[in-house]
This record gives sequence, C-alpha cells and structure tokens, in this order.
Amino acid sequence: MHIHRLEKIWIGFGLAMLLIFLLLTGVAAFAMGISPPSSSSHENMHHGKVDPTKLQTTAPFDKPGLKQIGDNEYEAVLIAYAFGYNPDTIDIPHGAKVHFIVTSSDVVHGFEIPGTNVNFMAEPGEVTELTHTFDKAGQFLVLCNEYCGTGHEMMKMTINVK
Amino acid sequence: MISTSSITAGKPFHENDGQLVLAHVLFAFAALLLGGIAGLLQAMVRGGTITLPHGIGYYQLLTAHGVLMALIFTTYFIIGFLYGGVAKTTGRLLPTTLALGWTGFLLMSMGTAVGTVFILLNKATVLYTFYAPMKASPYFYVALALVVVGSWLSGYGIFYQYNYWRKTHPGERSPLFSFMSVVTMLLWQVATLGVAAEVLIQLIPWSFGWVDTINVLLSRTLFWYFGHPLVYFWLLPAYICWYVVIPKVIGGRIYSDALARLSFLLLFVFSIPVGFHHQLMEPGISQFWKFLQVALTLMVVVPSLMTAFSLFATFELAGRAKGVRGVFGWLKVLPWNDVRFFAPFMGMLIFIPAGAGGVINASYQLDEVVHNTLWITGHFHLTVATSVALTFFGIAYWLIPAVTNRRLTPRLNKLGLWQTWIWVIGMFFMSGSMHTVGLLGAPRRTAYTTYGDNAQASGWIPYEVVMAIGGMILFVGVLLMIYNIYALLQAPAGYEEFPIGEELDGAEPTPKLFERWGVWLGISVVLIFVAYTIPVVEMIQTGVGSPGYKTW
Amino acid sequence: MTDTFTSSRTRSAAGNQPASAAENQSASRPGDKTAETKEPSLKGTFIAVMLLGGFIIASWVLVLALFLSRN
Ligand code: HEM
Ligand SMILES: [Cu+2]
Ligand SMILES: [Cu+2]
Repeated sequence: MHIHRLEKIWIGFGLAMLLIFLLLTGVAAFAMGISPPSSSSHENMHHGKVDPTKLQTTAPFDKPGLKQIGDNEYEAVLIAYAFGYNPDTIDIPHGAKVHFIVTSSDVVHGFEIPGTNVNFMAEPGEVTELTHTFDKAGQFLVLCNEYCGTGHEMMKMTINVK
Repeated sequence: MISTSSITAGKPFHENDGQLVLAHVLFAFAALLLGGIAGLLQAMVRGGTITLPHGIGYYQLLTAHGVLMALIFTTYFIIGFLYGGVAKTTGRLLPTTLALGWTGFLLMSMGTAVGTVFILLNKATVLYTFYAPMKASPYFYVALALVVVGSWLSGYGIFYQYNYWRKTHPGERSPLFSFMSVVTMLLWQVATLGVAAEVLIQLIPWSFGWVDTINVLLSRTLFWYFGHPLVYFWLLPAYICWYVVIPKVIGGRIYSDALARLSFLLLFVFSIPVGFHHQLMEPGISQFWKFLQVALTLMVVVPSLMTAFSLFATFELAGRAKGVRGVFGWLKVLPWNDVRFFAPFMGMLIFIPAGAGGVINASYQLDEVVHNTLWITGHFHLTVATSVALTFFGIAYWLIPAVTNRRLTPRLNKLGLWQTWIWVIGMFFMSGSMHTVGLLGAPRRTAYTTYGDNAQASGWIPYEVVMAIGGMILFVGVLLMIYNIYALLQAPAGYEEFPIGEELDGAEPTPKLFERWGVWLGISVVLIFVAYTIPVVEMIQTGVGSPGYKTW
Repeated sequence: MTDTFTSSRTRSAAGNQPASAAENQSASRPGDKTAETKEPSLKGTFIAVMLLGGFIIASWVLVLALFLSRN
C-alpha cells in the first residue's frame, strides 16, 4: 500500500506530538508524583474500600474532619452525601499540605475546588485520596460537579485558608 | 467515469428500501425537535433567564435531552443512512435484510416510547448515563435494553446484506460504503456488550429488587467501556460521508480507498479499550491501568490525523484536476453554495477544535482542569452536536429526496445554507462560552446556581447568559431544520443523486487483509482483554455493594 | 421475490463497476515502482494539516499552562 511522502511526514509528526504529550504526562505522574486522584491508601482502608452503609462505625469516617498528621500537614476526612459534605466547613492553615480522603454515603458525588486542580469523584464503597497544598489564603468554594439529585446545584462546602 | 455513473442515474430508489431509510430519518428528526426544546429550556434556565414551571425539573429535561439527542437522534439517523448506502452500493435490500431492519426499528421505537414516558413521569431522572446507585424505574432500563437489542438486529441486517454480496461477488473488493457500514456496526456490537451487561446483569435485577446492592465502580466501568466507542459510533458515519460522499459532491475522487479502509479498521481496534479516560478522576482503578488506556486513547487520534490528510488531499486534487494553481487555489473551486458540501464541510472544520479538545481531555492530569465542568459539555456540542449533526443535516438534504424519488430544489438548498450558518453561529456562542466558563470551573449538569451568592460562582453567570443566547440561536436552527425536512418531503418528484465517490485512477489496490474480519476482531478482543481484564477482576473481587437511591 | 434477487445483482454490478475498474487499472501496472516520483503535489494539503497540528499543540499547551499555574 502506497502512502504519499507528505502524508508519511504528517503521520510521523502527529505520532511524535502524541508521544511527547504522553511522555510529559507520564513523567509528571510516575516520576514527579503529580498524578490524578486514586484510591486511598489510608491505613484503615482495605483496598481503599469501605461499606457505604456503615460509615458511622468505620474509621476514619466515624470522625470526619481535619486531623494534623505532620508539620503543617493534614488529613481532611470528608463524607459527601445528598446534598452536602460532612463537615461543611474546614479551616486550614496557610501553606498546609492537605490529603483529602473522601467517600460518599449515598450516590456518586463530585468534589471540585474551582480555580485549583482539586477535582475528583466520591463514590459509595470507594475512598478517593488527593493531596493539595494551599499556598493562597482566602475562602474556597467546594462544589459537587456530578449530578446527584434535585438538590445537586446547592451541594457545596467551604474551606477557609488562614 | 461519467458514463459509469450515468448507468444508475435516473434509476428510482426502490420503494421498500426507501421506506425503511425514511422511517429512521424522520424518527431521528422528531427526536431532534423534542431534544431541541429541552436544550433551549436548559440553556435558558442556566442563564437565569427563566424558571421552570412547577412540576418540570431541570434534571428531567436534561435526561430527556441527553437520551433523545445522544442516543435516539444519532442511532436512528445512522441506521437510516447506512441502510440507504448499503442498498445503493450492494443492490436492493434482501427480504431478510428488510425484515431485520424493520424489526430493529420496531424494538427501538418501543424502547424509545417507554423510556420517554418514564422520563416524563419523573421516574428516571438519572441522566442519559444512568449512573448507579441512583435507581430509576426498572422499566426505564428495560426500555434501554430494547433500544440496544433493536439496534443489534439492524446491525445484523447490514452484515447479512454484506455477506450475500460477497458470496455473489467472489474475489471482488466490497464497495467502500458497505465496508465502512460493516465496521461501524461491528464496533457497535462489540461496544454495546458493556452496556448490555450493565443493564441486564446489574441494573435490571437490582431495580426490580431481586438483589439488594450494586457494584457501583463495576457498573461505571461497563458503562464507559461502551461510552467511548459510542462517540465513534456517531463519528464513523460522518466519516463515511466525508470519505465517500463528499468527493463525489465536489466533483473529485476518493483519495485512497486503501487508506480509508485502514483508518476505519484502526478506529475500530483502538476506540474500545479506552473507557478509563472517562474515569481518570475516580478511585478504584490504579494509575497504571488508567495510564495504559490514556496511551491507547492517544493512539486512536492517529486514524483521525490520516482522515484529515485524506480529506484535504481530496479537495486539493479536485481543484488541481479543474486546473487551479497556487497552494490554496483549490479552496476557491469548492462548491460553497451546495449545502450537500457546505454543511458537512463546516462539520469537518469544527472537528479541528473539537478534536484538539478531545486530546486535552484525555491527557491524564490535564483532565483535572476540565473534568465535569462545562468545558466537557462545550466539547461534545462541537463533536457530536456540530461535526456529526451538521454532517447528518447535510446528508438529509439529498438522502430524503433520493430515497423518496424527489429532488432537492434550489430554494431548499439555500435554506440549508442558512440553517448551517445559524447552527455554526449559535454553537460559536454556546459552545464557546461553555468552554471558557468550564476552564473557570463552572460545573456541568447543574441547574442555575450561585452557591449562595459566592463571588466566584456569580462571575460565571454572564457566560451562562451568552450560553443561553447561543442556545436560542441554535433552537432557531432546529426549527429551520425541521421545516426543511418537512419541505423535502413535499419536494417535486424527480431524481436526486445518491453521491458515491469513485477512487482516483491508478490508486493502489486495497490489501485483501482488510476484509479478513477474524483478524481485526481478534486484535480488538486481545486489546480489550489486555486493557480491562485485571482491573475488572479486581473490581469484582474487592467491590463493596451499594443499595439504591432515588434522590430526585 | 426471485426478481428482487436478480435485480439486486444487476444493480450492484453496475454500482460496483467504478471500484473494480480502478482496481484493474492499477493492477495492469504491476509494481508501480515509479509511483514515488509521480506523486501528485499535495503542498496545500500538507500546510493545512500542519496548521491543524499547530492548533492542537497550542491548545494543549494553553491548558497545560493553566494546570501548572493552579498546581
Ligand atoms: C438546540 C440545540 C441545543 C441546545 C440549546 C443544547 C443545549 C444543551 C445544554 C444547555 C446542555 C446542558 C448543560 C448542563 O447543564 O450540563 C446540554 C447537554 C447535552 N447536550 Fe445539548 N444542546 C443542543 C443540541 C444538542 C445536540 C444536537 C446534541 C447531540 C446530538 C446534544 C447533546 C447533548 C448531550 C449528550 C448533553 C449532556 C447531557 C448530560 O450531561 O447528561 N445537544 N445541551
Ligand atoms: Cu451533586
Ligand atoms: Cu471518550
């Protein structure tokens, strides 16, 4: 099968472009740890799973909220539910590194802080973990960006960085 | 060449075949009208222009819009178009083909009717992706199953006709249109296995109460195993128009039959094992498997890059054959005033930003910027609601007269050019503002809200107002399109060409390998197993069941 | 019904003629070793697709920049 010389150049160029995209994202993810959210590896979790009907009695979701685990490093354990988050406000010290550990007690929800790269899903039975460092002070809106029912557009919480 | 095409010129399209095509196409446009009304209302609600009367919810409308547009309009039009082209290129439809086509039509229509009723009754406000553990009425899932099974039968009809043609034409290369139809339907068969498994094994038993809980992650994975090839099921018929129909309309030739077939086979092989790129932001799937599917996703870009080259080459060579010079001289001799060319051409042009957006969405971490924001909604209003939809509109202008033995009048051609401009302008505003406000963080699938006068969220409203203006322009486009369809049905009797391009003289022969279906199906199955087996087994073994909820 | 079959055959033979004609033509020039030198000029096509490639890269880099500025 014959392919025009210029088409060969074009496909070569396209492949190179795609490989560079892949390389950049791959290096960022696997060498620099800048990766999208994944299952929580929290010590209490079995394969990052929990029983969504027993959250009140399952650590760490029996005590949702912020917990200091190191030098300006925190764990934010949160439960998404229709239509809100528990707790609905957290205060974070300026510059803190926060590990969000989130699940849902009912349907699938989203967790997005607009203006940042914090954007992930909370699913019943699964525990999502994502780390973010808050270098900017101020009040941040967290909103649910996955349709979860009639009150979906009201589902939010607040993060105060002081 | 002129002599070969004049053999068929003037020959009427057989009535039985024409009716099957027409039934599908008209059903599709009825869905477009209903979906368009919902779309208009959604855009206006989001822009804060109107509040819905009590009893109708935003998410109910959104469910109707998604189902009618993404599932019904597309599937019906595609089946109608493919049957038309298969009849044109392989000969009249065989009795068995017709029987399969009509049975498929009936099953799908029953499914659509039942599904729509349950959406209107507010018993299935789960959007067109019906994510568990939101639990709709079981009859909604049964309705979806009917649509899928019906579409399978329609696919079998095309396979049957193609096989018959090959048996009666030993050693010959199949017509390109029919080959591409078979690839499209084969993709559909393999892809729908995922959603069929989700609906039949998980959702139906659970929604009837025969089992208590559902494995949420598994259901999402099965859905997206289907969900990505779904978008290629929409796109491939548009590519058929671009590869096979457009060369004839512009008075040119198909650039390369072999490359066209190759790109279809690559799309078939690479478009299925990539569903995780819709699940990059969720737990339960390890980084390795996500990234592997990201790599496969970027591979599926390659056949589209080939397509871009072939299309430009067709244009350039057609221009050169007409004697034009200069690097871009060929642009001037394209038939800009012919809606059969212009509407699909605008679809192709818009596929450039649409495709660029798709590469961004699939780029792993970059998805954090756009995931579940209005950027995504803006993206697929370019891909499916413009590139694909405008191509389908462009097809309708000749397909309807061709199968009803009428002709496209100059007046309708002109209305078609207007319709195309209205659509493009409306989409520029609607999709443009969706993209922009999405980058700022505005979520998709969300009714009007400022999150309690939050300053940031209030800043998104002006963009959503522009979105609503674009939506209104688009709705005018829907109405004009519906009028055009009506007028096409009243057009004067006569003959309208079913444009099927011919290959360039002296093009290379097409490798026989391209029609060894076992090989391509085999590669596809291997890739699917590589990409999915381990993560899915893990999901089944470790998954925790969730009860169902009705949160609307 | 029998006439459905016969007419479908004649129809399809006519429909397929152009494609098989093209095949025969290329087959009558076995090997076609000169194809490389006889390639048509596709300069305009090449420039067009490279612009397309440039557009993809530019948009990708734009969103990457947004991502980095928010990280
Ligand atoms: C009159 C023309 C149209 C208008 C005004 C319109 C408007 C909209 C709006 C405002 C949304 C919802 C935004 C959100 O809250 O997330 C939406 C969603 C959607 N539209 Fe359209 N649209 C139109 C045509 C189409 C067409 C032709 C298609 C496909 C063929 C389409 C497919 C979709 C899909 C799949 C969704 C997503 C539904 C979901 O998120 O569940 N739209 N449209
Ligand atoms: Cu929500
Ligand atoms: Cu996809």
